[in-house]
Amino acid sequence: MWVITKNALRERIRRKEFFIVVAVGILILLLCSSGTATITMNGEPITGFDHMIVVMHTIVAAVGCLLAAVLGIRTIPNEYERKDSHLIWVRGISQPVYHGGLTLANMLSAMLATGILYLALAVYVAANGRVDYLVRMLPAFLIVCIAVAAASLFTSVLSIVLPTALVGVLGILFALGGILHGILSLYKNIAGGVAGTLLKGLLFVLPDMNGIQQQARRLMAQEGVDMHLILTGLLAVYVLSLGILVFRRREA
Amino acid sequence: MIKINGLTKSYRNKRVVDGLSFEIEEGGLFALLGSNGAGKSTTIKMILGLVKKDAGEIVLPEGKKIGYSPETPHFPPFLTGEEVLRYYGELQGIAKKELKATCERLLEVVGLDSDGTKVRHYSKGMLQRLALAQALLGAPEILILDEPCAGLDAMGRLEMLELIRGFKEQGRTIIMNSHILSDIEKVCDGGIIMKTGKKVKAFKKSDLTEERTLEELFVQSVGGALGERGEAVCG
Repeated sequence: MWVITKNALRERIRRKEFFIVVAVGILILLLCSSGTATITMNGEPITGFDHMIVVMHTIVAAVGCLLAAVLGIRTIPNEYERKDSHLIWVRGISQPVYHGGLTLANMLSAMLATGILYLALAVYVAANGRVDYLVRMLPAFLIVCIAVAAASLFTSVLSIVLPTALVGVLGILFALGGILHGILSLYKNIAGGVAGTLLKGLLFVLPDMNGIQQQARRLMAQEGVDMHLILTGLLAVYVLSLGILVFRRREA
Repeated sequence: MIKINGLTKSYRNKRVVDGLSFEIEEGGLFALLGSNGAGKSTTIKMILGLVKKDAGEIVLPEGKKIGYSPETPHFPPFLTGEEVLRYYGELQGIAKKELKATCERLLEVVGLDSDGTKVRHYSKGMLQRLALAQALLGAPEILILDEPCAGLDAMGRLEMLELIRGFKEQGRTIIMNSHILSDIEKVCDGGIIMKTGKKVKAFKKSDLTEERTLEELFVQSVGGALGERGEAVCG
């Protein structure tokens, strides 16, 4: 499987979406950190490090999750359209190994992009002299990777069997829903009736990617970490990865 | 011996292969001929297990390895020819120690240089040669070549046919699908002519003479459609 992953990863990191999203992410981080962009919360401008790191960390995780969804949409369908799959199938490589290798490449490329954004964040942290944050950035990054992996797995697994356009819509909705989990939870409490019930069901299914990234940020800030959210995220990744075994193509 | 019996395949109620039966002798070059849409590629894909058959039987000799060269090969453009072969070799489980030597040898066999040229700079002919080289990985006893001369210039075609003849002399069983009848005639030992998914004619090398060429046999076999088309054009 690693042979397929290695090759697919080399292709993925050459895709323009990868560079565009990473460049846009870094640009947004630069705007935030340089003070060019004014961000206000409850009418108060955010300027201090403790507030700004919350915003910037959320941006990094959101960009990572969205890129993960985008990269996963066409990877597997492309392989079948170009008939690359023919030369894999004839070598007796099973579908779970083939699809698993490609999905892993999607996940790793999205994690790599998130890692690059994390490095940009590290520069901001170091410039502010917060070494205490810096030493916890690696474990925090690994926690964010859980959310990125979930977004990547969702689109990759669905792309095995569903049409690309539908996968695109569902994948982006999944990533956005996960990133906006906190806000949607607030609406759930306000909304009643059918809408409230639907929202409740949706939030039960969607992994709380925002919650996961918050725990990563809390770890950096040496605040209490809610392990339940991280474990739920890992469970979501595990359940989604089962899709690689379940979903199969009939023909190459 | 490869045996195909009553092979059938339909797509959305359209039958593309219809009760196809034939046998291929070991060590020979068998040609699948027919116009576009005759069902040649679908038949090849069913033999390879890339497309599921609706009915029929495919009997392949046990323990024999199959190499496949596709009609329109696509390889990662950022890899060199040698890296492409190494990639497929690794997938095939060829030991890393022997892989480098194998890749260099196969590139030499098909007439490609191991000069580090990326696949994105390859011409159509070079891609066909690379496709053939990857089919030869693991020294398969059966070779399935889908339009191996497609897109090649005259010299390229001659060289490719020479290579194929060489593989046949090594005792390999070759199934080849091509539109270029004169090419097939030069190398084949027999084959079938297909029309709308059905076998309309089976032939052997001995059936072909200077007076009765493969082209004539082909036109005679699928002639119904050609004749009708001619009448339609002439009004």
